[in-house]
Amino acid sequence: MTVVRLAGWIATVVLAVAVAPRIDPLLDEGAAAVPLGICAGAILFAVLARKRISPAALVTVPRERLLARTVVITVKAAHEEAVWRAVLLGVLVGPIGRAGALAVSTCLFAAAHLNRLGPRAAQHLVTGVVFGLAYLVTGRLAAAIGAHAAYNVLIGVGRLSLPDLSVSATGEPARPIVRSSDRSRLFSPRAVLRSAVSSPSVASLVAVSKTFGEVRALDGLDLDVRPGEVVGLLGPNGAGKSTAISIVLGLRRPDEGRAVLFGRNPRETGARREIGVVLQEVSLPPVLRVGELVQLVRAHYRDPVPQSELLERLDLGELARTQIGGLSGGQRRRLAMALALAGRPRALFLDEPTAAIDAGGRRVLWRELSAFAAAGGAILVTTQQLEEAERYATRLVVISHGRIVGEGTVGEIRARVGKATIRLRAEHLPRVPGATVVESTLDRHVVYVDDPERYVAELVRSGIRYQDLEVARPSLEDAFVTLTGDET
Amino acid sequence: MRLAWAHAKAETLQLVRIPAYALATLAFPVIAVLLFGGRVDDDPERLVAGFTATAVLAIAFFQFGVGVATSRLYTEWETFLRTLPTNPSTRLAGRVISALGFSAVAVVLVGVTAILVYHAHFGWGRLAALAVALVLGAVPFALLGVAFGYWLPPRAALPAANLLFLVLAILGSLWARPPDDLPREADITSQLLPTRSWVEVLDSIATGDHRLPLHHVAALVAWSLVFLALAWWGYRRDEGERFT
Repeated sequence: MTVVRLAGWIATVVLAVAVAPRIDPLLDEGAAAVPLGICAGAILFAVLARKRISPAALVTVPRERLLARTVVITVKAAHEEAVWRAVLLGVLVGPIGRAGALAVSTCLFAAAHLNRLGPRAAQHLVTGVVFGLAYLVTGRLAAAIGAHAAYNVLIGVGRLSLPDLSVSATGEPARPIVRSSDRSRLFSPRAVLRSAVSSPSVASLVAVSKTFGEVRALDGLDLDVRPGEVVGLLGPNGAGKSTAISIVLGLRRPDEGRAVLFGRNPRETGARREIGVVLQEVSLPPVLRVGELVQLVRAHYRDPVPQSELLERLDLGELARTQIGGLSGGQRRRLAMALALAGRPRALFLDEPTAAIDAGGRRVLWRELSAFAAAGGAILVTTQQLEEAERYATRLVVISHGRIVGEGTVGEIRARVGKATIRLRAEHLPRVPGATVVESTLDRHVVYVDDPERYVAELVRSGIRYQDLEVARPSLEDAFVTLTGDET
Repeated sequence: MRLAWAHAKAETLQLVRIPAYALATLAFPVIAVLLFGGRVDDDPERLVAGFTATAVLAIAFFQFGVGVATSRLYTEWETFLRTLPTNPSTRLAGRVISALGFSAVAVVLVGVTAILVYHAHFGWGRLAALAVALVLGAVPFALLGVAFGYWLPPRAALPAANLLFLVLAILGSLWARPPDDLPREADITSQLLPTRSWVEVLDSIATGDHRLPLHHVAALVAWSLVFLALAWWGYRRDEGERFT
C-alpha cells in the first residue's frame, strides 16, 4: 500500500516537473534555491508549531526510522508541491497575476485539507503562502519542495522526539520500533517503509487525569499499548476503565496529560483510521438492516472487509437482511464486533465486549480476537471477567480509583499477592529455600512456597514418599481483591 | 462526499421505515392544500408556492430539529459514530441530503395535487425554476432545524418546533398572501421572517407576476449563514457537554 502510494507521488512529481515549464512563464533555471527553501520551512516551523525539539529525547529515536521518515515526508512534500505550486499556481499566474495566483491556489490548498483537518486546515493558509512565495520568488519548484519538506520533517521529528512518547512510563528508554534482533530485516525496503509510517506505540495515555465534578475518575494514569499486545484493563466498577478508553479514543479530553493514538492526537480524523471500537452499551439504530449498517460503517474506510466475509466471520451470515431491532442481545454484540473489524484495524478497543452475551457468542468473539492478536493487531480490552482476562490477555493493567495498582502478566499479578499453597501427606518434608511450613499435624502438611514447580521437583528428587499432593495458586481474583482492596 | 451519501442513505432508510413519520410528513401538506386551498382566492400557482414551502419547512423542522434531538437519545450509537474516521461535517451533510430527498417527494405530491385539483398551470421552465428555488430555499430551514435540535433538550424540541413552525408559516404568509389592509407593523414583522422571504421568491417564480425580489434572496442567504453558525455552535456545545 505504502509502496504504491510512494510510487504514485514520485510519478506525479516527475510528470509535473516535465509539464511545468510549458505552462508556467515564471519557471526558470535560477540559482540553487533549495537551501533558501529549507530555511523558509524551518522558520515557518519555529513560528507556527511553537514546539521545541528536545535533543535528548531525539537520541532514543532509531536513526533508520528518522531517515526513512524523512525520505517519505520529502517525497510526499514534493508530490504536493508539484500539484499545488508547479501545476495549479503556475497555471493561474498567467491569467490572474502572481498575487492572485498565490491567493487562489493557497485557498484551494487549505480547502483541500478541510475534510481531514477541519478548522485546523486554516494553518495551511499560512504554510501555503510561504511555500508559494518560495516558488514565486526563486522561480524554482525545488525551493518550494525544500520549504515544504523541511517544515513537515521538523513537525514529524517534533512528534517523534516528544519525551513522553519515546520514553515509556517506567522511565526506560522506549523499545525501538525495530528490535536489535530484527536488524537484519531492517534493511528490507518493506521494513524500512513500515517503520517510517508506523509508530512504536499503538495507543498511550501519558499522565492523564480527569475529574467529573467532585469525582476524580483518572489520576495520573499511564497506559501504553504496543503492536501484538492484548492488554486487559481490569478494575472494579467506577475504577475509571471506560473513562480511560474514551480518552484514548478522543471521545473525551483529558484535564491533564495527553492521549496518543498511532503517534497522533486521537481527536484528529486520521488518527482513528486504523482502529476498531466496541463500546460498552450497544444501541444500534433498530430499523436499519444488518447489511445496511455494515455498509454505512464500511463506507468510512479505504479498504474495508467485504460485507459477506465480515458477517460470515461473526456467524451473522444469515442475518444480513434482518432489522437490527429483531436481533438477540448476543447477535447485537457480534454485530458490534463486526463493525469494529470492518476497516481492517490495527488496534481494537473493547469496553466490556462480553458482558451480557451467551457462552457461544463469547466463544466466537474470543476466536476473532485471538485471530486478530495473532495477526499482530493490538487490543485494549476492559473486562470484569477475570477468567477471560486470564486466558487471553498478554498483559494486565489493574486500576482502582483512577490509578494503576498492578501491572504485568497474569503470573506476575498473581505473584504480587503471595505464595502458592501446597498440601500433602508425607513422613517428612524436603528442605527447599523459599518454602515455609505453616502447618504440620502427623503426616499432613501445609507449605507456603514462592515457586511451587521447584518445590514439587525437589520433593520428587528427595525420594520422600508422599500422597494427596495439592497445589493451590492464588487465583487472579484473590490478586484482584488484594490489589484493589475491593470486591469485584 | 461519498461518505455524506452513505450517512444520508442510512438516515433516509431509518425515516422511511417508520410509516407514521413518513406518511405524516408527506401527507400533511397535501391534506393542508385540500383543506385550505378551496377557501383562498389566490392564484393556484401561488398556492403551490406556499404549500410546497410548507411541506419543506415541516421536513426541515420535524425531520431535522426533532431528528437531531432524538438521535441524541441514542447516545451510545452517536458515540460509536464519533470513533469512526470522519468529522461532524460529514454527518451534517448527510442529514441535509436526506432532507432534500424527502422534500423533493413532498413537493411533487403537493404540486401534482394542486395541478389536478386546482388546475394550476406551469410551463416546464417555470417548474424547473421552482424546484431549484425550493431546494436552495430549504437549506436555511434545514440548518435552522438542526440548530434547534441541538439547542433544545430532546423532550422540549418537539412542542417547541411545532410552535415555531406555526408562527413561521402563518406570520410568513405561507398559506395565503397577506391581505392588503395588513397593518404596517405586522407587514414589516412578516417581511423580516425567513419564511416570508422564501415565499416571496417562490411566488415570483411560480406566478411570473413580478420580478424576483433580490432583497429577499439576499435575506435568505444571510439567514443560511446565521443558522449554519447556530447549528455548528449548538453541535459543539452539545459535544462539549457530553464529550469532554
